[in-house]
Amino acid sequence: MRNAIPLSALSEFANELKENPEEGIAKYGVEVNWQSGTRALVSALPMEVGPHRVNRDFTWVIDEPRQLLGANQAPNPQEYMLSGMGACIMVGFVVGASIMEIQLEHLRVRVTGQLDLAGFLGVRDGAPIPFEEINYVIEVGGDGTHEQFEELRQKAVSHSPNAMTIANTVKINGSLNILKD
Amino acid sequence: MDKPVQKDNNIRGDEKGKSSLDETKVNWVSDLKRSRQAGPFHGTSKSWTEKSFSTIAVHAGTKDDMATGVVGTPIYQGSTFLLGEDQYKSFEEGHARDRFIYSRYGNPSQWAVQEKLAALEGAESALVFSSGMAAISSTILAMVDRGAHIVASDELYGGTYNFLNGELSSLGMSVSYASPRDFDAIEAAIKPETQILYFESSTNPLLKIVDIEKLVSIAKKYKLRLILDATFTTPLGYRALDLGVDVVVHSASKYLNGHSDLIAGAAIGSRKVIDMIWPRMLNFGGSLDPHACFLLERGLKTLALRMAAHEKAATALAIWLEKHPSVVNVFYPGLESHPDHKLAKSLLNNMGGMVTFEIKGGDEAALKLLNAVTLAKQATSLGGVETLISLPYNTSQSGYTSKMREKMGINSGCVRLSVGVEDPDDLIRDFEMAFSKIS
Repeated sequence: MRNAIPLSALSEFANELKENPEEGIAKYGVEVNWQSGTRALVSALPMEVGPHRVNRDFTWVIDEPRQLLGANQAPNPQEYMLSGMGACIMVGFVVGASIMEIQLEHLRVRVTGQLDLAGFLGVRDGAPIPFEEINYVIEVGGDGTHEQFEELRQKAVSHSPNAMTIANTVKINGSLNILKD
Repeated sequence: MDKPVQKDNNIRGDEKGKSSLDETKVNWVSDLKRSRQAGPFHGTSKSWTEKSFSTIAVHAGTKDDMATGVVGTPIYQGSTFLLGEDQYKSFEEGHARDRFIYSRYGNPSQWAVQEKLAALEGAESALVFSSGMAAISSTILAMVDRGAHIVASDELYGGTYNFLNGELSSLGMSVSYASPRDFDAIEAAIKPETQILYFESSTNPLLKIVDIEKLVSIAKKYKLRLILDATFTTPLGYRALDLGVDVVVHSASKYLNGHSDLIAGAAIGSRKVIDMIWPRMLNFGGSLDPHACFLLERGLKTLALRMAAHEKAATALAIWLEKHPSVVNVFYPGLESHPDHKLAKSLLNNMGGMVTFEIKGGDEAALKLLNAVTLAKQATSLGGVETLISLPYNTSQSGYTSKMREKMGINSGCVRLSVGVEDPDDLIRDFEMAFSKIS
């Protein structure tokens, strides 16, 4: 299969959603369990794809470097966020390449960003808390033309749920659950 | 001068299974053309929805060979197929299930019997396997992910229990067992990581009929897949997919083939779900040989006839056994005394050929009875044209202690009969003779 993407199944799924939108609703969740200091153990919650439950038996650790009060045992929340965006763009790029009948030989997405920690620490008025810019570079090899790869880059980013969540502000709803004892 | 290369673009397989791409430019996924179709079927796939079981059993899927005019599907006893551009494309795009490439992937003999099975169950798609356990293991493993949990019947067929109990834990999965009659216990066993409910349409050997509509509603409530082993009831008993079951599995060695002369299995359901199982069949290797497909297809043609004969003989024998002074208890869903008779009457179009009974004198007397009968053959398995007689305590339920068997309701002296299609009067006379010999 080209790029190990089953194009026929993808096409069937896309056409199924035109008839039955419920099949396209994917529900996600994670649970971040504090371990010590800045370190947390994250578990993926069961997903739902359409009307069915999908088990996600995955856990991973998040920490901060020593300079930021952690023990540098694992990637930090910013790195997970950037990797989530980069991997999401990558999926769109590979899917798009398969649709365009391009065989990929190499693909690397590098994502970088800069924070002014004065914002998080609140030590200087006007210091920004968020990333003000996120930069990515897609390094690609394969039998596509320059124009095709450029078209793919644009489509992969504009169809990426994670990139578009970051680019367009998302509403964050929260609540507090205080345990007694 | 070199000859121009002749491209072979012939479609060898299901012509309805098309490429996602055509001449028009595809901008994004929404422009892809391929939609999911029932099948894959070979040639003249008709709609069988308006036809009765006996007609479907004879005709669906069976493909006459137009080159010779021979009536009936030939045996395509080949391992591999000539490849052309269209097949290479099917590989590249991922619809190799719609083409003939290699017999482990698909073969016209398999497709013929698969279409017949799909039509009998009222389904879009079916797969045949080299055994019922190949069908069951491939189907279960297609529907679970790492860390998954399964809720299954606590009266499963021993082979399925061995698979769940012996294999899944080493794959990091777990199983809880609940009574097929206790829906509160089934719901209570469901965990956040549960993905499947696995039950049998009728239990072995006490022939408890599962209330399938209740199971379907639990599966839907918790967003689970429901797999049903319908070996004992067959599609003639009821069509489980119509009632909301996701996949029906069968040991086709039993009633579907009906002649005790092959080992085969089947998984039947929507094209979407069967397409999920197909790659597991390829990976685990449980494909069915073309010659066995031919035997299964031939057996299936008489399914409706045989099931009517099984039911007739089993009913006559069950009624006779119930009146016999040496018999303590008879379990047959067609009898008013059966605990699930009301449910069976509303659910089943055919009560089947399985009759279980308990005789005075316990297992010792039962063993004598087995040796005294002359028509029924002392053998395990079921669903064949010949009557088979066996004792659960030293065959299907031999892994349990006598106390555990009693707890399940399988008392000493329990005899399992798979009533064949012989004349019921002959069977009754044979049992009459056998009982008089041992008393």
